[in-house]
Amino acid sequence: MKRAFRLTGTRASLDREVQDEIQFHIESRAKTLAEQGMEPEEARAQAEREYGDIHASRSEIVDVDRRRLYRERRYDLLDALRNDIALAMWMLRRDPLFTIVVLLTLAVGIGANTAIFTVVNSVLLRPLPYPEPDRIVSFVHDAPQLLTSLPEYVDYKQNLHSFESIAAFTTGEANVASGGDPERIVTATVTPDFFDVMSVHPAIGRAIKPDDEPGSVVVLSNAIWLRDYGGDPGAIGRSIVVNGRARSIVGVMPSSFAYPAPTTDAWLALPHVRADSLGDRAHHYLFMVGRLSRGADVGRASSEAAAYAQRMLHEHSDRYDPAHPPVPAIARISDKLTGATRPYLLALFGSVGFVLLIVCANVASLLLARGEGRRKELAVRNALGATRGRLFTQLMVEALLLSAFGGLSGIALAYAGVRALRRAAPATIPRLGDIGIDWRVLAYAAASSLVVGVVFGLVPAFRASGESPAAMLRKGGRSEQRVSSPRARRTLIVAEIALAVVLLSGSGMLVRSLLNLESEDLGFETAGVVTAKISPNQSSYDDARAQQLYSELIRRIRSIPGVAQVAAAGWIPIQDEREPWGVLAEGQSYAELKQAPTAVAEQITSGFFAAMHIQILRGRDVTDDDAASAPPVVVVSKSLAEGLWPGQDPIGRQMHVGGGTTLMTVVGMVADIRARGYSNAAEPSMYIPYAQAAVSAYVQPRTMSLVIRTRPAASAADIVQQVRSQTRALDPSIPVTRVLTMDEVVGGSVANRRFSTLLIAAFAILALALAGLGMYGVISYGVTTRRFEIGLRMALGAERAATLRLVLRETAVMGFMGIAIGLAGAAVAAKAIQSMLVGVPLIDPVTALAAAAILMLVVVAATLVPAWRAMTVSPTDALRAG
Amino acid sequence: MQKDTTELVRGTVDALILKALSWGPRHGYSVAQWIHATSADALIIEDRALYLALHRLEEREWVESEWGVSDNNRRARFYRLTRSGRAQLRAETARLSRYVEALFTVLQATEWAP
Repeated sequence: MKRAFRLTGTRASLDREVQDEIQFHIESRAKTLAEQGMEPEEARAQAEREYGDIHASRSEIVDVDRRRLYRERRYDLLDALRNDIALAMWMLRRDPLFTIVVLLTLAVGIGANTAIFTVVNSVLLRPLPYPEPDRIVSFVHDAPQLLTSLPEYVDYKQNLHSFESIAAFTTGEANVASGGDPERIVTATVTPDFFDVMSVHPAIGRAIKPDDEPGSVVVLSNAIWLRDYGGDPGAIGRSIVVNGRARSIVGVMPSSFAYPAPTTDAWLALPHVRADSLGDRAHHYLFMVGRLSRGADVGRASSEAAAYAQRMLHEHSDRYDPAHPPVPAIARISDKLTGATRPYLLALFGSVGFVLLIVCANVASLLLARGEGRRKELAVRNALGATRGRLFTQLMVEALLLSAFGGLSGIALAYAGVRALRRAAPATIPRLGDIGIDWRVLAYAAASSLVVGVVFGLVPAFRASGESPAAMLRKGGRSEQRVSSPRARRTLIVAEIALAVVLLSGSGMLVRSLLNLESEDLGFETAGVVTAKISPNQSSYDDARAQQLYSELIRRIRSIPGVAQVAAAGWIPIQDEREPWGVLAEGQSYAELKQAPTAVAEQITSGFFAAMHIQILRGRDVTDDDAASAPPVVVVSKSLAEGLWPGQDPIGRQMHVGGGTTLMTVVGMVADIRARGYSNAAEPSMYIPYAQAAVSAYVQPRTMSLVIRTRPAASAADIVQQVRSQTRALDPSIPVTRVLTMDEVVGGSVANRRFSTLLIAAFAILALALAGLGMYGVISYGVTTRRFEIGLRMALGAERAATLRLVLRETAVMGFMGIAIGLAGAAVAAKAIQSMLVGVPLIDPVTALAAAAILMLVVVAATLVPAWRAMTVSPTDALRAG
Repeated sequence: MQKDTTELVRGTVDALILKALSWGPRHGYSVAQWIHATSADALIIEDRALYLALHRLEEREWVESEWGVSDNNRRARFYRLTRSGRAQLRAETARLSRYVEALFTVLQATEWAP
């Protein structure tokens, strides 16, 4: 739209013009009146009267003009912007190689960032899919009590005002018989207000009601409903046999519900709480989950609970050990769920941040180089009247356009990356199924594209628009102030080296930590061992029948050709957790309970140590002769022996568990094992013959896990197949579950760490590659622009080799500077990831040296080709091109 | 055509100004003089309203202005019609004529029955 007559200038000048216009009118009218015979003063007064309220008129006219002025300015701006975008698009198309390189680099940087942010957002930032998830807290106790007894639960529930309500539950597994193969499911047995506390109700059917007969109802998870009932709504009301008892399916939870665990298949009902039969206050077996009252927070709830726990301690002092008072531990369930993964995810996020910074440096140096090449064009435009501001704006628009397109490509890349991540990530990552791109991720991608564009575009745009045209158009175009000055180039190189060093050394420390961890001696041999869980129905097996079952099953399995050793154990180290019990040696007594050593109890059949390759240090293994009627025996671990009988031979000595009286004779001592996995200390352990467990150690468990050491050439799958068929032959109602190799079990315990360490290492390598390429480009460019100087030196007699040394020396200096800054930064970064380091000091010479060496190598490699080219410069050509 | 009186007045003033400018650029005082003269003083427009109308017309791009020199060498702001202003003048003239005609017909009616 043509704008021929524009309002120019400022508001003050507008006002002046209006004033002039009005005055002209008044004076003209006064003149006319005077010509008709009026006196001049009278004429003027009359003219003013006729006009009207001059002051008011001025302001209303000025308002109109001002409105017009602003509207015109807006149009101009929009026009300018449209022009800039069109021009920028044309420039990008004109140099496709440049554009593609920049877009690719940006896509990689922004894409990686967005992908990792997606994970961080989904796991850490997004609230859990429960109403007001921040008000739902888990309520347990600190060690050693850990859980809660029924009387305590009732007391807390009735007396704590910070909680709107508290529900209790236990977790476990159960057998499900459904006509086909028996199944083992993960269960949670809950009080009826559990569903109110979570504020999530079944998607179909109903929740457990307080007046339901406990044990007669069950609520299924969405997953098991889809799997076993095909998603049929008619499943409601059907009967399902759980642990030998028929129960009615009353509801199915929505698919997003995953409490207490994502693997929970069914929710059963706890027995009714009756005030007259609450049971022993010291029997701790319940978990609790509560909903905070409005206005209460975790801190307030914690102090109220702590105070009440003190009250309980005093009112029931006979049921508590004053050395181990109940200490409530209250935490939001979201924190509990994601807490352990948080440092890994944040470290990942930091790594891609570094990668993005290196990307910005690369693109900035590319833009600087291109700005250099456009000096003439920009100088001409400047001479033709484009102000420095307009040029700057236009160059910024170019940069922002690049970053916008880079961001779009990055989002596409992130989409693919997230899909790959979801597939590759270990199942132990919390909320894995929730990971996906949502509006927040898109907003982040847009924002980071914008910031990135400003970061890499600012300096090049500033420099390119700031040339004086006279200097530029001078002969030779050789001006003092270059767009891409050596100092700018050097800064970029040093920055990229420093960033790469930080990332490399951080990932190096994490890799070392992982290796340290995995090289720890667990005390048993994990390779070549398969485990399987056998779960006979509680109701159909008494102690004797269970013993017969296992001895027969083991006998059969032992005869399978590929089996070297087989045994059964109450639980599998690392996969299961068991809390230690107090133990007492015979003849020794302790004034206070807390002085009693504790030990973890494991129920085993003979051959367990052989199967696990746990070293027997003294005495013997348990044998089949250690039957229920035989004298009770026990095998102790080295640390337990030293705790109970320091400096003495444990064989022949006697001990019993804290609450029991049956004396067991020590017949063997074995090496300690790290039953809780890497980086956990070995705990004193006692191994009790399975058949004697009821007598010596409270109870003989029904569910046991088989431990099978396979011969080297044997196929584990075949052996497992045989195990299943033998079990089925003995009792078709027994499920065989959790079939895993020990390697898988151990790998699972470090899965999160390994996954993030590998990813961070991959990003470090990416950063190295990007930095290397960037450096190559910048150094190369530097050589090209210094051709004149190099040619001059050569013409004056310098040797070619000297040129090579010159270039190499310069980049070596930059390398050292970059490495020095980088190592300082690495020390800071090490502090940030301190919690993840295992066996690696904050200032780690090994990693630092390796990172420095690798970077130096990359710098030299990036310099070699350009340096070689510098050597081959023909002085005459260089001087002539001048 | 139900319009309140101020609206009508403003629309009429606009049409008069546009007409005044249809013979070429004029400054504001000249427009005022012409309207007074041509209507034989029957149409009275307050000066203040006239200048406000002129600036509004310029905002709507029916006229455009330029500072120039008057007959007696004084600095004055001259207004001229734009192309769209000319079209607006034609439209307004037709509209007002129809209005006046209809008004006239009603007021001159000699009997009740249609």
